[in-house]
Amino acid sequence: MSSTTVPEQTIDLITGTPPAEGGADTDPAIQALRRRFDSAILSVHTDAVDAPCAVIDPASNYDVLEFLKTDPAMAYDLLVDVMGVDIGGGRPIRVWYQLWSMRHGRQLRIECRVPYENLELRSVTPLWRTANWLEREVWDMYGVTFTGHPDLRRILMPENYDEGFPLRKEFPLRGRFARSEQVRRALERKGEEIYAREELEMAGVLAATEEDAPSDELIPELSMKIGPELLADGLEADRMVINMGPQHPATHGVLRLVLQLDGENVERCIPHIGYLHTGFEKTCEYREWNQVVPYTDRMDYLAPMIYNIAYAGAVESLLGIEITPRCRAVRLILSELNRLLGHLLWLGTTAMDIGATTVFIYTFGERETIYNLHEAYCGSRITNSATRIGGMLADLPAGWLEACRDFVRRLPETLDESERLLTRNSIWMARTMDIGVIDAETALNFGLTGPNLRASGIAYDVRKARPYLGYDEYDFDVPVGVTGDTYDRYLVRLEEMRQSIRILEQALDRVPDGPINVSDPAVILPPKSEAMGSIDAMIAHFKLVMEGLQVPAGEVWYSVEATKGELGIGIVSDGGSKPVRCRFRAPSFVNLSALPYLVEGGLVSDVIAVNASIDIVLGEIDR
Amino acid sequence: MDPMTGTAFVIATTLKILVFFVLLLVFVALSTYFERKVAGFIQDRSGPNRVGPLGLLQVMADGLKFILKEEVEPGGANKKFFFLAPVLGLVPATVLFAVMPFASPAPTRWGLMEMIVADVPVGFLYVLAIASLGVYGIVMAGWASNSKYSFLGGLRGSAQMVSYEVALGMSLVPVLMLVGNVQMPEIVSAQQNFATGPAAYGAWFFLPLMLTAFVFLVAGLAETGRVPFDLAEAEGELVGGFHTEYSSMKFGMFFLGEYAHLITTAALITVFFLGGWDIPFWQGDNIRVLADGTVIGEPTWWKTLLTFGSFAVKTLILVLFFMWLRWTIPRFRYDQLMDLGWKVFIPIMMVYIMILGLAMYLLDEAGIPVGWQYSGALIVLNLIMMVTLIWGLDRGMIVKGATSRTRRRAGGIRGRMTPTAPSEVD
Repeated sequence: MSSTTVPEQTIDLITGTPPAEGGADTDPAIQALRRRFDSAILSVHTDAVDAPCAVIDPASNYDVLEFLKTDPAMAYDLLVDVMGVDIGGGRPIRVWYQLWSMRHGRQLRIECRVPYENLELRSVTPLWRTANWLEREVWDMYGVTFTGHPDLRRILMPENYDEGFPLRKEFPLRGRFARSEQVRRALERKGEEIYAREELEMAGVLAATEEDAPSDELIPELSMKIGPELLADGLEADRMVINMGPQHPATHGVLRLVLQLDGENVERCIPHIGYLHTGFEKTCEYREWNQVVPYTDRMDYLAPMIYNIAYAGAVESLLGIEITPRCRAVRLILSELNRLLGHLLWLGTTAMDIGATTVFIYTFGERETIYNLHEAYCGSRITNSATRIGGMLADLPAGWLEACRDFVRRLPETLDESERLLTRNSIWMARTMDIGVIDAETALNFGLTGPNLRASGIAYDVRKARPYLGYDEYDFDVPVGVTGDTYDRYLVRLEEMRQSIRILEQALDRVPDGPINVSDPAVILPPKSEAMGSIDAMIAHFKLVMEGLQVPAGEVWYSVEATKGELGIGIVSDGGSKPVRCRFRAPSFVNLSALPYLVEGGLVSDVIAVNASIDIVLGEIDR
Repeated sequence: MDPMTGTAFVIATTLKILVFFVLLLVFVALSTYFERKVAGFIQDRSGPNRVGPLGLLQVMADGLKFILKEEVEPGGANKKFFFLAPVLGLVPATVLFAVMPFASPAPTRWGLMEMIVADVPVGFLYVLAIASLGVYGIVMAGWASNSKYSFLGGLRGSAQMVSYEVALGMSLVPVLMLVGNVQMPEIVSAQQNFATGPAAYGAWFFLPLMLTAFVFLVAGLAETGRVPFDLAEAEGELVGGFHTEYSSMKFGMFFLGEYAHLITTAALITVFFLGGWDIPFWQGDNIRVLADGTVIGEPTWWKTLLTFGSFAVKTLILVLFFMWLRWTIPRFRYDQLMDLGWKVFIPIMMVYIMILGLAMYLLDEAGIPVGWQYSGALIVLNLIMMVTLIWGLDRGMIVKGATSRTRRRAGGIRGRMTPTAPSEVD
């Protein structure tokens, strides 16, 4: 397909399945919404994993969401995601609000269909601070304006990007401008258009245009009075603005933090992301379902298989197929191994950032073993692309389970060793305790998930809340912290590694025999011998190769517990061989948006410690 | 035998300067290799093992690399100070060695040769004066680089060094109280045991002055600017701190300066608290030249060599200890470091000096002569204070931030779990 044509979208409305017996209409939240906002509720349906969805009038999005958040019977306190969907053909852009209620353990999706003529929604940032970055991304990618948003500007694309809104269907895959045109436009830009408002304020550029700027007449008066208040006022202009990153040893990738410093105290912190943006979500729309898999592991390259497995799970739920018991067990084992992989890296680099270099080498030694296991399984170490829709790329090789068992048996020793170096170490405690504190309520408001949320005392773990891959059959605990400081985040992750070991110990003994792939010829290629021998298998083979996997029209929000938090995958299909929308709700994207809250008021050294402790990976943030 | 005088003295001193400057530089170079081997040992890896036998020539390769690399000068740097800074980083650390007594005096045809380059009457005051010059290198580097990271590093470095200079100076006061003299050879012989002649304490000062030795060790470590006190450098935070913008041999000089500083600090601790070149449990090395030229003991060449060995071994053990620390513990935060210096060490030393003065007064009043009984009483006193302090340190009363741990860890973190938790928010 030429990159400039608009992809054909034949189906007018892609929705989930209509409410079946006891479907969305019986959901208490939907019923309450019907009672209260009847005219605003346009339709309801459930998605492929039976989560209720309500399509509402865009004009009343704020009221509906406010009700859902504040009403005690609803209590949807976690805004998991705000994402856009463009199904093409000039039809309205859909904005999904994915909600989760901690108290009732329910999920709900609110969908607004915003027409192109009036791409405007009311911002929900007053309700959830996490909406800040999420809405910015929707604006960046779809051009939906959120009125009342405090800082609506590009987030993943460069600030001076003016080729349009990349995730719209009319936007060509290769972009609109040639490189030379991009450079020419960038050079023509004025500084004010490139920098964040806060940065301009820091630099004093904005003050010159505002009324409250000190005028010249005031200066003699200022110099006459000498008082402590005035002295302090006068000093306020003398702040150091320092760029931490994008090339910095402790930002864990190409993250740029603009810090305003008063001495060593951080007064303001503005994160800039997008340096690694490669448009995975856009590219996925131009790839067949199985071809998307390699893009997924390049997001969280520190725990790649979790992404592979999550993506495959999402598509399988849309297909409505059940993977084999052996595949389920293998995926679970690989998930937990990758959790260890991610957490071990986190432990090592965090210790390194705080100055303890040796832990880093210890944990990397263990990661090496996991990479060896990866290699033994699928041949590659980091970007595995190990899953296929309906199964895995291969069955486990002989002896793999034993090797894995050996590793699991040995790992606690390294953990103990690292813990001996850190947990009771005075300097370590002094550097991490009461640093970057976030209480439970604020953490939820910021949309934190994963160990960061659990360190604040909320035991929310997708593996327990909405078990997938049969996690409910295993015996494990979800550790939670008390204060939500850096030390608690450290303890929670350490304990999580121990729990992963516990799961692995159980799972390794329970891998059932049998095929690893489903035997559905519409999903998985038949074995070569059969394809050559029987006409049915040959037809299936031909169709699968020539047409690709066909996924029925519908939508799904599927989430798993990644190492950094809740990884949500939103997929919309029109029944074709390519996704219409493939959204990855990257946990560290949301977690990073809380960074300014965590570090402002601390010291430069705390920025490093906190930034390390929230465990980000820029691959999934920038996507 | 009389001490050397005249031309012989001048020639001998020149030779000593040459030999020991070269020796020091060789040791500095080797200590970079040593550090990497130690790090390798601690981190379950091999360390340098490619260049030369056991990787020993790595030192040469590194040196060559420093010299041959391109030198980059940041735009807007102040050239003069940018150049001067690495020099000032290296020189003070090396010239400190001038007052270090590293072996017992050696007899020669022209008289007795004291194994010290310059036995200056101001003794350790010279040490304090020169050591405090080291801060200029860091400040200049930080300021002249015209880089914000360097600037922050320079600021941190200067504040740190100035504060720990105070603790360092105060921790030498008790030594002065015991010895009554600031000359370095005097300090060494005061830690020896003489059957006849002047009074000596017969114990290395780290025993009767345990607390002081501890403070001096920590303050000395802070002066060298190594983990956990590498805030001026703080590669994770300030990229490279004051030397971020340095490259090539200019960086090499900072690098050498750091290791020279390390060895010098270790040597100073050896002289002040580990008996200098004294060999324990052996009276043969108790040699001393009094101010009037009388020599006590029997100086010989082999004793000189033996005592030098003793000095080197003690210094190396301390260097090893510093390296071990570096690869084991994380670094302090800026404010914690300042708190430790100003709010912990300085008050501790003030109180300690008073207690020590009182103890010495009481011992003198009781008529106990300077010797092993005197030292024994001080050791007991120090042990009590040391145990109290360590207990305090471990209880998190000294390094701020660790206070709340008993409160918070009371319940433990394990197994507090409810599936799909009832929200703890409301």
